Amino acid sequence: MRQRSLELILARTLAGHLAVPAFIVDTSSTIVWFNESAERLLGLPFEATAELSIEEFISVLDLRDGSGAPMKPEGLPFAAALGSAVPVTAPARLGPAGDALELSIVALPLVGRDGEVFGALGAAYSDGGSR
Amino acid sequence: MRLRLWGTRGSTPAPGPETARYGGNTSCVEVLGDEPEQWLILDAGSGIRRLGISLARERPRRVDILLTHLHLDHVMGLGFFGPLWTRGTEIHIWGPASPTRSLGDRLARYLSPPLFPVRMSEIPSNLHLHDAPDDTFSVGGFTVTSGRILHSGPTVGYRLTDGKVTIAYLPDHEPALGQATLAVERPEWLSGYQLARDADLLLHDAQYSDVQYSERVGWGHSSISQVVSYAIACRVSRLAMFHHDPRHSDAELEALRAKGRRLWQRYRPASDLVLAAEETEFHLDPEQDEVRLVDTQGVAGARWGRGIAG
Repeated sequence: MRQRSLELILARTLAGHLAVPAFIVDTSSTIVWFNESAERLLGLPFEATAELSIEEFISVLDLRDGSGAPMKPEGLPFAAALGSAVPVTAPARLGPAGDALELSIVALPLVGRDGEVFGALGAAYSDGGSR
Repeated sequence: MRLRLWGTRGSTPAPGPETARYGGNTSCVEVLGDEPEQWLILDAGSGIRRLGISLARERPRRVDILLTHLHLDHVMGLGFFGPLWTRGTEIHIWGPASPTRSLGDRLARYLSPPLFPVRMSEIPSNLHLHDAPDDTFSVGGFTVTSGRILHSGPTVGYRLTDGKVTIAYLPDHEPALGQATLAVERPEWLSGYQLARDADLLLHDAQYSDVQYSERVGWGHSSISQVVSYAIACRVSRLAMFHHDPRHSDAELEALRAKGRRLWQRYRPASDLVLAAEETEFHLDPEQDEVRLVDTQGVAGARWGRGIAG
């Protein structure tokens, strides 16, 4: 098993102390960790799935974009932030039309001391809802 | 492989009768292998001064000093290290990289007026400075792996092997920061795991009691309970408590060791956990299938007759 970089370890430590659902994404666009609030959002504990691909994440959540269409992997901010190396925000919907939870998904690319992007910190903000 | 301990104290030198048994010099470990005329030293705390005196008669051709970080207790002895002042000696200093300043610039903040009377440019030995890579490299017959670990400021730990035995040196380290537990399912998330995993001997920060740590979270050091948990998570065979707090007397260190051994002996024999002491040596001999702690000062030692990890 490959040692996680110090920066990724510190990012996970921070994410573990956040109240919002937070995700750590590595450079292969794999969600390598998510916090307790994210577990509630996803409806499953991290240990049940361990790492998630972007496609699996979208599928588990039945995530849709702001227009209600199924979210495309490239439209998810996690992947976009890794590719562009700038912060990305996108609206998303969780759940069926009419009863959807409106989310704002943000992703911060994490740039190490060597100037390279080593991952992203993602979070899902909502303006309400019971999830 | 032999390790000779010239300094095991952290933060600041702590000489005095109450610290005479385990020593008051700050971090410095000499690593001896089979390669002639080459020496490898871990950190340049105040203990390196006496190491330099012992090297005077050896007249080494090349000395490599691996610095874990540039806090003063790990570099303060450099200016008083004899071979540095010997013309013709090749001195290689390795240290953590910085994106903004070279290792030389950062060391020069100490080795220059007004803090030191001589400038680095005036040092007569043949000085070479290197950024320790997040990678594996060869030094003096050893394969060295360096990697960044959790401590205040840029800090690396080192893993050394001669192909037969492996040691890990993480003298300033707080792997428990932000972690609910160090007994983790996925050790790749532990700071320094790749350096310490399966080591025959781990020298690790054990500066605080558990109570002291609760008042010093984020200071970059570990409690005795944490270092034991960490060593178990990394599956090391033997643990040497290192970087002793300058306030801790010999008796207090021994109390910490007793606490550590109570936790450790659920995993391995209590004697596989020791207090690193100045003027002692670890002899790691795979052919004898043992690690011996050779004490040159009369402190009770240990003989570890366990199998050595490959």
